[in-house]
Amino acid sequence: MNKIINYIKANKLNLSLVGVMALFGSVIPHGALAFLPMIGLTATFEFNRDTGAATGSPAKGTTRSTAVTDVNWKNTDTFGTAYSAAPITAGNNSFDIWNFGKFSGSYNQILAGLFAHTATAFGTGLTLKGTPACTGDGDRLLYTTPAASANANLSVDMTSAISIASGVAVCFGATGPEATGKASSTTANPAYTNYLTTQLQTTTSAAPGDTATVTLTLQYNEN
Amino acid sequence: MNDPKTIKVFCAEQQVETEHSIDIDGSGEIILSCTAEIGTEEEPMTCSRSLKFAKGTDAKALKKALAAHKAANEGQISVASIEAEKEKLIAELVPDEE
Repeated sequence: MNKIINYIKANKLNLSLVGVMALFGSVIPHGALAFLPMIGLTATFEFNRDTGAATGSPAKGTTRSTAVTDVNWKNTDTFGTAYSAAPITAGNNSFDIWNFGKFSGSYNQILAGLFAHTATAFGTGLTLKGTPACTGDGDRLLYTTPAASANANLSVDMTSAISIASGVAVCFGATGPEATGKASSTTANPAYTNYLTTQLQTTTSAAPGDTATVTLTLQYNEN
Repeated sequence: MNDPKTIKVFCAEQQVETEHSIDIDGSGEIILSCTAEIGTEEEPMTCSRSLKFAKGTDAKALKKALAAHKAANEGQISVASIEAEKEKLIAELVPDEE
């Protein structure tokens, strides 16, 4: 008998703002977010998401949604569908979710990006797979039409909560997550990360009901 | 009856290569599950961390994917291991009350 599972009520994409502001050549210690009244450099950040069939070259999603505040892995690619309306049957996988970060506002440079699952454990039978490290165009994940089959390109096992320092490298660039020109830092404005794609894969031992709410963190430096 | 076949696969949870069972589910996807025994003698437990690969993945592609999996996941420092290390350090530094 199949078990039906709902999951992840409100998986938070926490923006861990570890801002190192290098001003006038001096570097403020890592972990401190200083207020700089004279310059007031503050990047504006939001998560966005691509859904729909791959289109264009380089490929991106047909639909781009902005101001994304959570990730609910579910049995559909449609952004607006509640996860409760598209539960995953135990043993199946979610559709892969193609989130990415967007930076705007005032800054000189965005750099040192890391992405990881940083808090709260998943239950038995649940495996979270995620985007591999991105250091430039050569290893950035290319958009494919979301599907529920196991995505072999998501090589990072994000199931365990780890220290953000162990997170995968994130790269940045202009135009969009799909665009070339990605590197470990950018001065482009607006700027985008590579795709931070995830997929929740389940086995038949997964328990029915909502999963725990977990935290995925994107950390970056700005100056 | 033959013992179930296993292969050595890097387990992201254990951070070492462990024996993984091999199965193919109803959707045709390949499932590799860690069989490492964890827990205690009183409460034995199996790791059971699993990896899935799409239907039709052949042995050559699977080997390549497993190599990429190890490269991508080796070196993760889990929050749980940090906490365990902290507890151990505190236990060694803080003298027992007499």
